Amino acid sequence: MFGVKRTFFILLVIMMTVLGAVAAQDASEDELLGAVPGYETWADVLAAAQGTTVNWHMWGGSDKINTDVDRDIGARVLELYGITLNRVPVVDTADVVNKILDESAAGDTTGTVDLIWINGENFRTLAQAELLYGPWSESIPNAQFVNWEDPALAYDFGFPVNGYESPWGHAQFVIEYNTALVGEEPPRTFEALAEWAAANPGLFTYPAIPDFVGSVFVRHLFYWAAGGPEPFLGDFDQAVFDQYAPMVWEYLNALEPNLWRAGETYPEASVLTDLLANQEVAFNMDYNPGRAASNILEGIYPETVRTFVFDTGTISNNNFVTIPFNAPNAAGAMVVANFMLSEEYQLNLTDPTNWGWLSPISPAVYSQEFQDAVAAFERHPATLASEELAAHTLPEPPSTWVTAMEQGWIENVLQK
Amino acid sequence: MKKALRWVILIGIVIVSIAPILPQFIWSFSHRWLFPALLPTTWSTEPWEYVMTPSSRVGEGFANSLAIAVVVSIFSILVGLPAARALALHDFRGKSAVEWLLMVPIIVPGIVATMGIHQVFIRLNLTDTFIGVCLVHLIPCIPYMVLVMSSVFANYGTDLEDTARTLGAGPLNVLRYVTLPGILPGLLVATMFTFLISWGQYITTVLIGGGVIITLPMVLFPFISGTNYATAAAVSLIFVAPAVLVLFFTSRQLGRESSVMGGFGRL
Amino acid sequence: MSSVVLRDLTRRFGSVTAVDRLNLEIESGELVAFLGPSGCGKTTTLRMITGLLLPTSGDILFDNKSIITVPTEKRGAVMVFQKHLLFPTMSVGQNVGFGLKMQGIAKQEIERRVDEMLELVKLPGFAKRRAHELSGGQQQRVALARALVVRPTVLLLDEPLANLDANLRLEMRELIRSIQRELGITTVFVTHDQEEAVMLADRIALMFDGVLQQYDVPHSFYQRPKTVRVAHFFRNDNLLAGVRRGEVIETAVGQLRIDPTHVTQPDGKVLVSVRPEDVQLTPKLGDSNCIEAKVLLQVYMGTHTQIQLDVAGHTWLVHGPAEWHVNVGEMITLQLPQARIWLLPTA
Repeated sequence: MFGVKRTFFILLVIMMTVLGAVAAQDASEDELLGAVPGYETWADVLAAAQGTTVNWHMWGGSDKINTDVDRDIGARVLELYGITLNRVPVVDTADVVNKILDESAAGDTTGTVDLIWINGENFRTLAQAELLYGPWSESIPNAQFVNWEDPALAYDFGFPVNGYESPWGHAQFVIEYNTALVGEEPPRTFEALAEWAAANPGLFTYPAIPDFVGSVFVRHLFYWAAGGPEPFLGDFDQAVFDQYAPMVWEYLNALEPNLWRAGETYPEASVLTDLLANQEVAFNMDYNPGRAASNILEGIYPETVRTFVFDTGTISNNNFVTIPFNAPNAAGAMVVANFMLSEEYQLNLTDPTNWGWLSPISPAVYSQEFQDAVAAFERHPATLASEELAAHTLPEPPSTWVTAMEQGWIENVLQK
Repeated sequence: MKKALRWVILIGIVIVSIAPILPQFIWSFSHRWLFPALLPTTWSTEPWEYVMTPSSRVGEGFANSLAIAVVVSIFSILVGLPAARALALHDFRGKSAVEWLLMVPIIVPGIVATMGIHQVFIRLNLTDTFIGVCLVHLIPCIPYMVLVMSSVFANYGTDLEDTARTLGAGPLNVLRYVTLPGILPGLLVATMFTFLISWGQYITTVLIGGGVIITLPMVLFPFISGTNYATAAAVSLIFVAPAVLVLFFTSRQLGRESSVMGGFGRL
Repeated sequence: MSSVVLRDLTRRFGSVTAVDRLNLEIESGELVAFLGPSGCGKTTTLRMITGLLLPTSGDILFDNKSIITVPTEKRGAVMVFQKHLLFPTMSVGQNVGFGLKMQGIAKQEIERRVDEMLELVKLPGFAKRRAHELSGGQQQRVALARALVVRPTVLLLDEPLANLDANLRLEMRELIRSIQRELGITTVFVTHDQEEAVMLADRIALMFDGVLQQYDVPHSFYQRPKTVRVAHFFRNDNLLAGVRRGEVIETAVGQLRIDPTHVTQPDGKVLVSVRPEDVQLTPKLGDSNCIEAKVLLQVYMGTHTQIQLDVAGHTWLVHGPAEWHVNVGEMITLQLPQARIWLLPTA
């Protein structure tokens, strides 16, 4: 018995080594799709990246993401490209942005940050200050899989990506609810939500702005007031804002007495997660449609939690990575970003038993094996089907709108 | 009777110091702990297993934090002790200005000071180095060392040292037999302070260390913003371990040498 | 033990001159008190002798050799401070043996001499005790033993009795005196208490404002003060303005006869001074030097009575027998014994 097992194991190791070598071979045959600063060919980039360390600064507050990144990205880029991935955990990406601003002010052209997991707001800050390396993201070989025509990929919170950011995972806003308190059928419209809250006071609330989850919840109300996202997708327009804002404030102020603690206080996002976990409220919300499932598996949420999207849709966006202007190892960072668009990694990303994220890439561009594998995934009952999510997706407005909406909420709801 | 009372007090102190971290301890072994259960409904060693993996970077962060805190404490003593002595026992021009300047790093919010320091450090090529991180930690540490020790020195005075000199002790023997034994309890407390201040530094390490130097707070603090309490609890227990040890150690010292309490007079 | 000579010793702190051109000779084995109000420079002088403080100018000689460049630890001038007496981290035995340890003396020898010295200060068997277990007086004696055990060239005591209560003071004073006599150690002690100085010292150096006023045997400060200020410090404020002409002083209350071999002031304006206890209140018929004075106040002092008088516009104090009684406002006659009249310079 043992002998067989051992033989099998050795065979497996040999196979993996061969496969790895083949994959590496494949990668080296890839070509750049366009120009990147400092390198002529993808082979140059790979050669420069070989044996280097990539410092990836990213939010480090999830042991699952930390472990997953080290296993499915870190270990793999070491094997394939000889790149050591140094994942630097941060509390707030704004700290990294400040660091780069400081370095720029001091004229430091070789920093320490190679890659950043960044949000739209911080990306805009760095892009407007011209503190990014690039353009590169449309030129790396696996950028061929990215549909740059998709506004959700071409724009990050309304700010053009223009080759300075590469997508990683896809996010879509979902409402989490506890069927034990709400029943099987959740309120799928804002009217229904208000009615439900009136009938069940204290069981609904949303995170206080400036939390980004609370912020996106309020954005949905603007879309609801205007009957769709269209008025908010262009440049900020005060007249348009003034036209729809009163309806939003009226809705939220009418809702307030029925909120958790009668709306006297709004929780932080992490507190709201505790409240749902402890069944003190019936709803929570998040940008990650798979979070409810993984929280159930991790024992944080009760088994009875499910998710839904509004009938009129929910806002979706993408997780991006970017490279600062003074990255000491831009080549290595590009190789990592390129790997993150590979079929191998995107399969792990979408596997509900592994990462359980959404892919920013349409499965159709990958191989038949990939599509078969994706089709075979067993979805956790708390996670919506990707088709249902895709059918209900709404774009993000430019961040100028976001700022105005957040400020308006503070003045007209919080302080009323 | 007196002995019994002492035991009651001792046990009381232990309970009071352990109580705040007991829920953390339970959390760190929980898998499912939902309201209103008094104890977790499912137990798990997963958080601790995660802490042990290289992915958690807890071991690396602990080692770095420890090395930095030790170096910072040693330099705080080397710089702070002579300064504290000068402030406590000598009058010189601009003394009050120096005393005021010493308070500045304690009063000014760390982030404000650190931004400026970051730019200076970049120009001096001190960023992203171990030494750079140690230096930036010294900025909040030295004032505490100086303030605590200057009151200890002021309390201790120079009479005993002078007595020893006249009895034939050279400067080194005075230091060895009179000054150091006399200020030792206070010095221990001040060193513990500086150790813990360095141990808890976050934003300064992020900016100056640049992710090249990973410390325990850099590993821990993101978890506090996350939702996995079990892992956060396990990491934070490792984070507070030195603090609890230090508390235990210093409270013993404080109990033994009441003169040390003088050191807190100025804080 | 050695002789100590201070030569033009001066110390300034910024613009303040703490000790001004001090000249003093202390003989070997002598017990000298530095006396004066606080801030007069006596402790500063003591610290300069130890070397803990460097003089601004001037010289210090031990046995006629300048030791100005010798560091404190090599001078052998041992100081006992008034506060922070004992090393708190050491036992009594370690305290006493400290100086010997610094000299590199063998352990058994140290122990033997420590025991011997503890015997001398009447604390036998105290070697193992901790410093904080002792009373104030005991600590004082340990500190003394610690200083004496190294056989200092000169022993310096800063207000050694200041922190002790009255009974202990007496005991300690006798102990210091007897040990000093026995060992013959040149000793300087600082005090602001003139009685203490008088009772203990062979000679007293009285200082005001950094300047030596008078350096003399104790009784001279009573009988032959150099200035009004010195007289005042020794509680003699009985003054009367006059003009000396040979053996006679002309004053507002009449002529006074003096003993010309006793006084030192030349002819001219002088101040007549007679100590309160020397004034005779019951003159016999035919006595010379009788003057009239008006009673201002009488205070009963237990052993005697103190009377405040007006003598030609000067306020005088005199001592009378305890049972003596006079009425306020009454005029009484005083007699100033010829041999007790001392003349002071005016201003």
